[in-house]
Amino acid sequence: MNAPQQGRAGVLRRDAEKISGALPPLLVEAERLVQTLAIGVHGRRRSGVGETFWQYRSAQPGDSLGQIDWRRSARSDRLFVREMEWEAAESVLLWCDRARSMDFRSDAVGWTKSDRARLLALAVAVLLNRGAERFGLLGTEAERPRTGETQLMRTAALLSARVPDAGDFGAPPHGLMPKAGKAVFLSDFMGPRDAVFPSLLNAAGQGTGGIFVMVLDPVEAEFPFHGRTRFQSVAKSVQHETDQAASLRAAYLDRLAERIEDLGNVARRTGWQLIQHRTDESPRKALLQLHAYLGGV
Amino acid sequence: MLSLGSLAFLNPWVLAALAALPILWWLLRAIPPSPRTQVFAGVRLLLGLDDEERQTHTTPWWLLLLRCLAVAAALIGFAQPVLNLNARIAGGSGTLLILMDQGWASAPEWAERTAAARALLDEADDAGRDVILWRAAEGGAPLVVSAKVAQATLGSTVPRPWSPDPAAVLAAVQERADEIGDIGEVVWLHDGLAREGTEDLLAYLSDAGSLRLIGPAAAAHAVTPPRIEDGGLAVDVLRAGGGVEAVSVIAMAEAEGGGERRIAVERAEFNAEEQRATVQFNLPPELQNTVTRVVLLDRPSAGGAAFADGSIRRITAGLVATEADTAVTTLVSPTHYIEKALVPWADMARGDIGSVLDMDSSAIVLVDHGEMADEERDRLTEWVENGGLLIRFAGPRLAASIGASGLRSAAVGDDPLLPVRLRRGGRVLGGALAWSTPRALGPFAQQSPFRGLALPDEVDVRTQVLAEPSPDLQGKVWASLDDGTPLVTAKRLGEGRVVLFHVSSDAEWSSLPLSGLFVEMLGRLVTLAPGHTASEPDPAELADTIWRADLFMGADGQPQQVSSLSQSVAGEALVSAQTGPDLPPGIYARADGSASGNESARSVVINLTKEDAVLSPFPPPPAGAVVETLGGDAPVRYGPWLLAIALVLAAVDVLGTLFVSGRLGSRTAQTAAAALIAVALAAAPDAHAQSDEDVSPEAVPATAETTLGYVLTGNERLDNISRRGLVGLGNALARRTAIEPGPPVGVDPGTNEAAFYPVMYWPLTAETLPSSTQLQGLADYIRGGGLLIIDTQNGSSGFSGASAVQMREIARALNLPPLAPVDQDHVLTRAFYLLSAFPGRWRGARVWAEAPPLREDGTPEAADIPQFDRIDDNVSPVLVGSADWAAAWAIDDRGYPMFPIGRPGDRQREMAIRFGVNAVMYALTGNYKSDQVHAPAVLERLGQ
Repeated sequence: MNAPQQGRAGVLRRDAEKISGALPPLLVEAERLVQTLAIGVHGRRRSGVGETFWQYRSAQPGDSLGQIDWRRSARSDRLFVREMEWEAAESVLLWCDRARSMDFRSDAVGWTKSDRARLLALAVAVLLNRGAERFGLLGTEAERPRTGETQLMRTAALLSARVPDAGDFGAPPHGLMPKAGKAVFLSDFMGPRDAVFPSLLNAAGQGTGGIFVMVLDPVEAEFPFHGRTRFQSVAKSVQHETDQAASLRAAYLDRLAERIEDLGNVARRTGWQLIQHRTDESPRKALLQLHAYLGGV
Repeated sequence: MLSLGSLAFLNPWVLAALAALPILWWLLRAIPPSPRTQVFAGVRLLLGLDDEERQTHTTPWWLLLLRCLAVAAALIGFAQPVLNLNARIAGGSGTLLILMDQGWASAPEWAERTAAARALLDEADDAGRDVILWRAAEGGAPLVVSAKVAQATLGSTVPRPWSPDPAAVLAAVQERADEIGDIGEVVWLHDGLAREGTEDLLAYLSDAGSLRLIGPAAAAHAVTPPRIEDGGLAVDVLRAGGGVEAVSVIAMAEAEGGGERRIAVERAEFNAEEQRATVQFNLPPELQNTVTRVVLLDRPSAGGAAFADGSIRRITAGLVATEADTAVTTLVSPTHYIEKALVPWADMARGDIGSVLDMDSSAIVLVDHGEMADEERDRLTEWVENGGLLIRFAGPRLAASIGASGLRSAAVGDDPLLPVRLRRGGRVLGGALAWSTPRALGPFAQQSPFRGLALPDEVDVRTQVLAEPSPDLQGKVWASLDDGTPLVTAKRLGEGRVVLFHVSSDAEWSSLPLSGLFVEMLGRLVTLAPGHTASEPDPAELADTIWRADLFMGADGQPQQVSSLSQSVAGEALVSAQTGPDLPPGIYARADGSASGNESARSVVINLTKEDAVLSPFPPPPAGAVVETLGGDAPVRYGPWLLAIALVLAAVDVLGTLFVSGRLGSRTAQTAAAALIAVALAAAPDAHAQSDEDVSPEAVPATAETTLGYVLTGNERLDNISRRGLVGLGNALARRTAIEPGPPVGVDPGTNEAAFYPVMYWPLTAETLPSSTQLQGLADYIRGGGLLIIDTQNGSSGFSGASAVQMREIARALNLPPLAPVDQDHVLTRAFYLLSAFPGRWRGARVWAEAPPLREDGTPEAADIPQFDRIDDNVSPVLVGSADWAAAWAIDDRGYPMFPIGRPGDRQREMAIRFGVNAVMYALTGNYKSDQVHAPAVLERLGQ
């Protein structure tokens, strides 16, 4: 095989991979993850628009003729209206931090924080899709909450796609959010305080409930460094040099705890939840928590 | 080339780079170790944090020092330092005179000397210079030759066992100064000893050209010929140096096979100043007489070795017996016992007093000699005073003469030839009319030469002459009876001694001459005799005689056989005893055949070192002479070592840098540590290999999982069936039970270790009888707790395999317990399946197992009480049957049964497999199921 052929084969293969994409693996993984959880279109325990029978009630003035259930009414002298249970789908907005700081993993862990966050986001999406809930990916073209395979595939494609010019640290989009039932924010929340917290407050303050999922690498949680070290952010925008990294450990852990506490305060104030997740833990644990918080709606 | 003392650099210009070391130091100081870059998403949280402990941003001093040392070591290593790069000529023109002492004192370092000379010649050859290689001990005239010729000469040069003569060298050089011409350089490979003319030669040579003196670190030691001192063998060790040291001297003796053997080693202790130290050998007389040579243990040479001459050898003893009556029967002859007793110690010469005195004997024995003529007495006295040893024995004649001498002694004093005054008459003990009994010997006094000899019980003294009591008597007594009466007395007379035995020399007066003690006593006495023999050859006798060497002393101090072509030496030359090329040291024998009248002069020993020799050290070198030390002159190259040190330092530097930058403990450092360990392991490959050898190759798979074994019979077909049978059984076990055996293993119990297999199947047929070693292996296996399934494979219902007789023998060899048929209560019937029969390919055959223990009344005891002291958990060591189970179990490659089994359907095969499962279960779980055997009884008891 000569060189041009080889080159062409390489291009072909690259394109093929682009088409089939990293989409199926992520989706398959998310599907597998949610297999243990079952969630359905859930009734609202009240009458409304739906497909399942809720109750019969006596027809009252104002009820249209078409609402009368003639089969039931024929068995008695009164007219009955057949009411269905109100089955409304919840809409959940997902935000997955795609900044470069999420592309970090320590040697001990096989996947980056971004991998884990995207997996969790897609797993939630799969769950919601199974329950025929509506979901949207905040900050993308799939922002508008929808349900169905198409939305799921779009979400998966968006999560799998590379984000071309992501910043070093991310923050939720600032501004008016679509009306939705719940929101799930997955990030490491390591960005500058001034950028992160106003956005969070903005999002959380719009009346929707939600969940912060703080995804941390074990190295970030433990800070096992020592010796003369220059720390760099992933995009190299921020760096800090120290002679004795081990001496910074206590201060760093204090600051991290402070950051987590602040997040917790924000969450408490706005009725949100905070889930801390480490990438060396099983994603199922975080997903269970997510499921519990979401399902409790 | 740069030289610093004995250290030289082959590439000195590299050392110039050392000047750059301070710059390197400064540079390294200025550049701190770079920090490790760590990508870390949480870096924002770190912003603004200050280090608690500030660390210097420069490299620590020890790391700097390490690096500078590494660089310095590498630089010096590349400069190729060489220690002892000696034996190099200074250059220039003119003839190079190499003077080799080449004498006996050069022998210890001869290899180094020739190496040094060869190096000089090589260099002279390169420089194209002419050379005089002068071997001082050879004599002759100096010849100017090319270096190549000199190299050839050097190759055939050996050290000589005599001393070089510096005076002769000087004379020859001066004589031929014109022919030699300009001597540019002189190298003297001297031996560290000064001789007559050494200083003159030194002065002349130092004037002649630039002088280089190469000498040994210490001059060779010399040893004087052995002599007798205080009855023992003594030699002096001479040296020319100083300092406290100890030198060992070996005494060699003739071995029975004809060679030499070492019989003693003694040390001479020098204090700081002494030039001469004496070594005293404490040897039994009979051994001392056999000493042929003494030699230094370390650095032997011709001067450091000496042949023993007659002076330490057997003395000549003159025996004077007044009665030479051949008619007298031998055993009652007064001289018989003396002659016999003296044979080990001395050569015997008989005659009257005059003739034995003429013979120059060193000891004279007078047997029962009474009065003697005045002339004889005077000669004898003179002889004793000159050092002779006179041994006298009492007897009737002496006793009779006491009166006369007693009268005389009253007039002229004591008889000088008697150690004590004797009383008239003597005494008789234990005679027919005497009350007293014969006396035994008393212990020997400390000053007596007989001290330490064992006293035999059987010696008794019946008659003796008595000493007149006198104040000095006690000091003269060498032996006495148990009542204190003197038995042997002695006194010094001049340089010699007179010894008197107060008993007769035959068995008449005492039984002393009959005892072994008598021989020992005479031996001790003989050592007191002076060695007159041939120590100094008599010039008069040597005149007009011709001698030829018998044995040479080699320059290395070893005896050297003489070639038949060795030249004869005139007797007069022996007198001077001046060793040299004409008279090498050695043992010389008469060559002209005319036997000398004096027997003792048959051989003359010429030793290099004389008794009065003195070794003087080499004179201080003249100014301007280069002095070098021989020895350790193999050039030591430090370059490779320094480079290795530089490498090690560099490796340490890597670790140090990692440590400083905090990267030690990271994966890099682990890798480095792993590499170091790997290197260490590679350096000790033996230890690793050793641990593997202890495990036999089949042990690991056999112990990794439960493995069934079968005994290899040597019959290929049988072994194949066994293997396939066990594979089939293993499949059934894996399918049905918790046991998942590995592939079965064939075991030759004679050679392989069988202890790994809980169950072994053994097809025992008439054509595959085991050998005794195999039986031994199987017996060990059974004793170790294994279960052996013996299958005779012939379907017979009885306990008969190959034949009853052979079976019995095998059972005995295996040390089998008594066997009994397996009945319905046996654990084997319910270890896994409930079975009532154990068919294999055949049906109806009985299975035998260990018989249950018998009660006292002879009935079998129910095995309901487990016997905890048994290692096999009450499992029968063998199951013996004939049903050919292997054939029933065997499957082929596709998993189908290999052999048909009689009945239609596979019921019988199933039963056979169930038996196999039960047997393996039985082996592995023991009597675990035996309580089930008693379940009915237990239930019954519960019901009550």
